[in-house]
Amino acid sequence: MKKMAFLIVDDNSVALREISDILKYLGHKELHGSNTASEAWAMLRIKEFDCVISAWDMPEMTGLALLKIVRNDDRYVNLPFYLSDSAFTPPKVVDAGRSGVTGLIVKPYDTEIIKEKVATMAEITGMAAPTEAEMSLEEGMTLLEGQDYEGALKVFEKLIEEGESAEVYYNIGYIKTSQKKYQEAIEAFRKATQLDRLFAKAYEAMGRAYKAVGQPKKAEESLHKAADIYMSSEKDENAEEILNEILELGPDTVNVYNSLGILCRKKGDHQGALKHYKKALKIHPDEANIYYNIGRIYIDLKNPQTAETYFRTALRKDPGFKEARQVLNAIELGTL
Amino acid sequence: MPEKPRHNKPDPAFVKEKILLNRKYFIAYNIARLRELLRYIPEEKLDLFHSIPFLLHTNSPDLPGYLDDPLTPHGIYRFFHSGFWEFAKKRLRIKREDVHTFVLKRSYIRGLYLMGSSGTLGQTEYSDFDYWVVIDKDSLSETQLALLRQKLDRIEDWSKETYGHELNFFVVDLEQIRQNDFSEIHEEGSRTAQKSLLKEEFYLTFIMIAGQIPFWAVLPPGLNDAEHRCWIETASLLSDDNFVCDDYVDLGNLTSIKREECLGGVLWQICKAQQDPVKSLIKTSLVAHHFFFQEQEGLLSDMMKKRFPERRLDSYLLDPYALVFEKATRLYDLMDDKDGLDLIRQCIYLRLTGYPVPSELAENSPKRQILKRYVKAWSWSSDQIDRLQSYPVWTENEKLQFEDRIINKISFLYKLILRAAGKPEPFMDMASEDLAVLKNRIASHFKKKPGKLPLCSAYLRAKQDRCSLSIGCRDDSSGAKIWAVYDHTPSDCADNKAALFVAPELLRVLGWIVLNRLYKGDPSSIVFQRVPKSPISPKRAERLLKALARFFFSNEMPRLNYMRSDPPWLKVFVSLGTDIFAPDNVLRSVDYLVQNTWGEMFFCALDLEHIENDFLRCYETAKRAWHYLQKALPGESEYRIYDSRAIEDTTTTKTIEDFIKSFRESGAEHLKAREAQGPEKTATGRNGRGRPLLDLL
Repeated sequence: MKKMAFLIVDDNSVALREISDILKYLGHKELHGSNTASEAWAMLRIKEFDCVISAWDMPEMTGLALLKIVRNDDRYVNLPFYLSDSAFTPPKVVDAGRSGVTGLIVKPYDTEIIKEKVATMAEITGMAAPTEAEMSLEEGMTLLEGQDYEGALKVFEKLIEEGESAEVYYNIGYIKTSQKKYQEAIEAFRKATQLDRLFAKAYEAMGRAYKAVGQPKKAEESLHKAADIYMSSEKDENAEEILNEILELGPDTVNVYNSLGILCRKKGDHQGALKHYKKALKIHPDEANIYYNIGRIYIDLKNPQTAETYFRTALRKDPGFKEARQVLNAIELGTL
Repeated sequence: MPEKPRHNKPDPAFVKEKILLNRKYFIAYNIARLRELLRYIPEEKLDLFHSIPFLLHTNSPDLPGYLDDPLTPHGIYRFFHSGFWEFAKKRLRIKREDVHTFVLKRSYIRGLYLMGSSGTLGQTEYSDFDYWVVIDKDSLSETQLALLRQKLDRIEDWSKETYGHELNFFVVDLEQIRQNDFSEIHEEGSRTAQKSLLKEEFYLTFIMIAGQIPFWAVLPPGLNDAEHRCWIETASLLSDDNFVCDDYVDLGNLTSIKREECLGGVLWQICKAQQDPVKSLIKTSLVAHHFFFQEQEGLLSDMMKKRFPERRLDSYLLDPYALVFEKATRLYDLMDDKDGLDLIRQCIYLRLTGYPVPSELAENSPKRQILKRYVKAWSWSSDQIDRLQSYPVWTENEKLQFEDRIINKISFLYKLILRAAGKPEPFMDMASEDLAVLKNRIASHFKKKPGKLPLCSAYLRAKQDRCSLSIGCRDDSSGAKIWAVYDHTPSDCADNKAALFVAPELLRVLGWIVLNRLYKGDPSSIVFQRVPKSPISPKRAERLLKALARFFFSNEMPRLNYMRSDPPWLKVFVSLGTDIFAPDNVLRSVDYLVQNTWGEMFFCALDLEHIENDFLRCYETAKRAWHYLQKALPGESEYRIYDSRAIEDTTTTKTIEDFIKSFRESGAEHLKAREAQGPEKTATGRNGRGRPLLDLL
């Protein structure tokens, strides 16, 4: 979830601190204060804010005037903008509404009301205050970035005690890998993938940890899973990188060539795809799927005659290959 | 005035080279489309698909579609070049020496094309096959045209009976297609509603089955009409081993969709919305997109043709429906209509999962791939996905509310186009009778009237052949008896919310079932719960339902006619004493179900408690029936009196019938008397009767 940046505008520093304290209590950390509307307007133009809370009555320029200026600018048409006042009169409410106010907040500030308003706004804009767990995770990440592995590990382990999380296990695995404690790293990555079966990065890191402890088969298995996930989520570059890494582990892996062929085909590199598929065929000449994939390439190359021979072979290798039978049928029927 | 060519005639060698290259692209594209079509056809229907072109090519007493008339037109151009011929040869084991018997002196069908959802992301295992049978009308006599239609009807019937699959053949004349005139191929009301819109749909979605290849598919995209003609003229002068001009047919060019057509197109979609609201919203959104943004964004068919070379096998990219979905969504993006965007996305999701009866999508299928991509791009939460995934278990009410939301959005688009089209002639491109029919059809579906029975959801309607219902009776919160229809399991009866339809009267509930065709005569498809203290036993209720179904749908389809804005009554069903305990067998109430020529069905009840004797009760019953019958079209209406009471009493039925007969006769006498008097001149003259109506009260 994205952190929310608040701009609070009030000439009364007590009121300014009061609302800041409430927002801090609600878990929001990015709070910026301003004592005048003109300064607030200048801040808005140099920094991106997610919400403005402005007092109505202020010397020089009122909150309402600030609202009007803000709404006049196309960039801020949808920016949540709240006006606060101790006594909203009906004309004030009408004026604020006409000027495009998001909501009105009555002073003195009430924590529950602020909480409710912010929650409604967060729901609409898709942002929310970070939870305690999120804050701890952030703390752990900061420690990790500063290479304070022990400190970070403590935070993450405490987080795990409170509730299991794939991301936290991944971070533990990462630290253990950095500390060259590969078996522990593998265990942490395994837990991460158990909690999130599509956690490609965790499979990838687990594969590398296996590689480090000299278990190439298991490394290949994990890396392949990572590549499959990347491919299915269309992160083709990541997939290609991993597949090439697998090839370094063992060049006789039929699935790697096949997957690389698929990636080339997706990029429109037909010749590259054919090269990989043909390599895959050398290793495994009876694999019907590869013949099917080669057939697809020839259809893409607008050569249905050659494609037909490959689909026919795929079907001969696997007589129950429904897809090959259907494509073959389509080629036969589509001959004009 | 014909357009002047923009430039000189293209070089013949260039034309030939370009056409042959484009032909290669088109064939690969066509194969990819056929592959998708085969993916979604159930195995048991493959034979049907394979044999259709052969049935049109031949007219043999051993094959379906045979007509015992030597004039019957049959034969497809270049059929021996098509894969379907190779298939037929294999399947029927046609020997080489017998091939000549299939060579015809003359082939009447210039091309056979599949259009619509076939071979697209919109196809499901239940999708109809819509074939366009292109002929040259000038080469057929009126008799031959009628024979061809008859032959095609026979093949349609055979498909329905043998495979349970809906086939539709639309016979289209070459010249008429060129002029975007589809007046002879469409349903009532749509004759002139869609012209270039239909052509656009054809070019966007057609699959080449057999016959001549449309020139459009092999000419470069973006040609204006003059250039299109010029290319064809040049091509027609070419002929060598590699290029035979007769392989191709000119079905006309398409450069734009007339804005005036869009309003009729939307009206047509409102009509269709009753069958499949999701499909209609998608199509309406596309029409609106054409209306507002065509100039900036161009035609979809042209866009598709430009990308023929890119089409790949097993891919959702470049699927005609993927383009339609993209444009439909874009409309709401461009209009900044958040609600519309949300709704169209839901509709696209449901359409891809097989709405109105969604099913599980095969792993790695193009439909699944594209859904995955959409869900990601739309940032949908798992709750949103779960909600749509669970569509089949939504209550009937929830489904109807969703349909209402869609209809409202279609109406909104209609109003938007109407406002933008301006006055005074927003429908200038449409025949006035078609406009009247469309308006009446829309009113018949959506207008609420007292006593009118509602239509069920598209889900139930689509499931009607596989529908299993149970009918029970329970007390409502005020203690009154209420009849309810439930889906399938009797245990649902415990849950009030699960009822598909409720009403205080049994006849109203049964009428709703019959109107929505949820009962097709199979007694095992409906379970009547035994209701303690019910005036009517399950057996009798079942008998009543059978009688209703036979009466209203004995001729399969009622003779619907939307020409008149005040539809006359067509059928009147009179049920005596259905819901009331009458130990003395006295007739205390009569229920009526009446249907008009728009197909609308109404329920009304007559309370006879206060009437003192049987004779007068019969009179009142007959009078109400006559109230409807007299407003029916002469000779077209019919009625049925059904005695639901524990002890059937033929005297009562006979007396009511006698009364109706006497009303009818006096009405007829009156007509004769009027004819004798000559045309009416004054208002008082209208009251003159040959014989006074029997008035016992």
